[in-house]
Amino acid sequence: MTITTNRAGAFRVAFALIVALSLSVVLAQTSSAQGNSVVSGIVVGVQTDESGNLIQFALSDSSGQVTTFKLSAATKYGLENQAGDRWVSTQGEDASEAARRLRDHRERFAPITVSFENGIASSVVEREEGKLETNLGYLFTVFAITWALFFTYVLYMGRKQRVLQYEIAKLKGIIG
Amino acid sequence: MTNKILNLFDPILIFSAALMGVALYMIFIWAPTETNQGAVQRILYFHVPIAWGAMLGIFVVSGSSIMYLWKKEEKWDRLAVASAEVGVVFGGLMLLTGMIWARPVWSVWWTGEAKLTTALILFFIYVAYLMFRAYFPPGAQRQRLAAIIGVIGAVDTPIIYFAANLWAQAHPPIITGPVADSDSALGSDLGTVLLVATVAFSFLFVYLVQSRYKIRKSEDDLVELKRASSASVMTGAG
Amino acid sequence: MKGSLAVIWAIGRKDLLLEIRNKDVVVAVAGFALLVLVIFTVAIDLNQANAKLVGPGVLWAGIAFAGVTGLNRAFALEVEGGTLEALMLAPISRDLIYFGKALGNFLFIAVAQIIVIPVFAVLFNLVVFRWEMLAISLLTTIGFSAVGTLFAAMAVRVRAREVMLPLLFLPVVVPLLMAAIESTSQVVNGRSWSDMSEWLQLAIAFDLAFIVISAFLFQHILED
Repeated sequence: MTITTNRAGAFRVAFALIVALSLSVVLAQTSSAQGNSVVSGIVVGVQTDESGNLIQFALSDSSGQVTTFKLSAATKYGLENQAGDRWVSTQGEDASEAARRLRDHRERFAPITVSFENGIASSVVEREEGKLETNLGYLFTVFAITWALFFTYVLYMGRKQRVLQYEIAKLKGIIG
Repeated sequence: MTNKILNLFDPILIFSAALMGVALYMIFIWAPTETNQGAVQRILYFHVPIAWGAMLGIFVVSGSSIMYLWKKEEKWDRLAVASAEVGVVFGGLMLLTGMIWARPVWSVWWTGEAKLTTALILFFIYVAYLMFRAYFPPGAQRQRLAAIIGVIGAVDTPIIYFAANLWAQAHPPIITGPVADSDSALGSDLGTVLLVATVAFSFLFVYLVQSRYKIRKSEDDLVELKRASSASVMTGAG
Repeated sequence: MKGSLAVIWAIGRKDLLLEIRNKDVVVAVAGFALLVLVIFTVAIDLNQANAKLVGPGVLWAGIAFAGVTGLNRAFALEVEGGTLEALMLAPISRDLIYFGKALGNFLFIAVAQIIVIPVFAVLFNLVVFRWEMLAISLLTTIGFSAVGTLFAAMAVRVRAREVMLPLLFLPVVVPLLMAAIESTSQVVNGRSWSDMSEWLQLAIAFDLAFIVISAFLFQHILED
């Protein structure tokens, strides 16, 4: 009897959750959905000023079309060297290192991805889509960890329950 | 008293599992690959519902802590501790999945972004809540003091978020990635998958909290029985 | 009203007299915070730019950690002397006990800062003696003692109180720490009130929220 009322209660809670959720998701969906353009390719030209700071660079995409990008102080970089060490910074912080990194990419023909708005790059990063295998690794890790942790938690509760039930039965035996 | 706590035929669990199956199908097969982030974007279909579960945990802990301080009824304390524990499990998973998603997309594991900072601090507050309960001898005093921490956490949440936001404005987090700043154009498909996954995880949350609640209850029963048995032994001896 | 203030002052004064006699808490707080500062001057290459960048963070992290030690010490003394039980027997309202204890803790941390901040200014070569700094220091100390008094009174009842208090206290005061660090770095960069008004407002909101909620919740700790 008590169990059925418990379940009815739980269902009511769950139902309220669903309603709240649907509302929040619908609201979230109606907002946002803007974006700037993205292009990937290899660096074909790097131009610097006299002190070695990057002024602009040119990118050739897969169809061979060359685009030149200007930079702002907020332009972000996430570029790796040949050893795979990632350098993360902005144009405002270290424009000369940016030039060095891009020249390195040009020499290695290492592809990069640029997101831009009105010809000004907002971020210049190592091309990620090319590395499908590593990305699938991330995806797999997430799902493995999630289920392993939930499973461990359920096992932990199960063990706790067994110990409790055993002790309760023992004590009941003593009293009865 | 024969009801099993971890009932595998609990309708909530069955429903959650069924939805989870649908969600997995949608995540891996039905949903199109996001053009810019690639396969990693599918992590979000897990990450967002788990984060929602963690948030539910905080709501329930603070709500039932307030109710406990007001009504002083055992059930509110049991609900608080059950959802705190499940909430911490969800919270830990939220942090882990978030970091794994951020590495390829933002190019960093962690950054000083407002939501991230808030989530981490709240996670620590609720871990402290559970540790406090673990260290404290059982009884009404433990329940009262734990409820105080629950209420403090709730009061602190908006302040932390506001501070973390201001902080992120002063120290813009460096987020670089193929599409770190732009939202994808997957709009409606993304919403549908997220909705199904979120409902599935919500049911999982309810099931886990309910199970933990029942375990908590039998722990109390055990304490009660121990008291009764020691009393009966005493009367027997006297 | 006047009666309540007298009660608060009486409790605060009792702690203060005890402190003047054995100097347990202030020495612990100031000593700990000074050591943090000294260790960081060794650990970090302190040129002018670095000092401005990390100085405020080191200062407030040091004071926060040291504050935890002091709060632990203050309530440990209370338990050793059995004075909390005695206070509970007294016919006064529980929130007055809270305010009295918070006043004591406020004074300890404030005195420790009077020692620590000048040393910080010397070690890090930064200009901090400005009215803005006084406001920041006051607001932060009020917040620390408001939250710290509540948590210390709770943690003192736990087996591992030395571990429990920082675990409870530090995450909760993170927003206040952010406010203190950010405004202090405005001060050392020579900016004034208007550049830190948002952070000061945040600190005021934090203080008000936690004074009210802690005073209200404190009765649930003492109730038996």
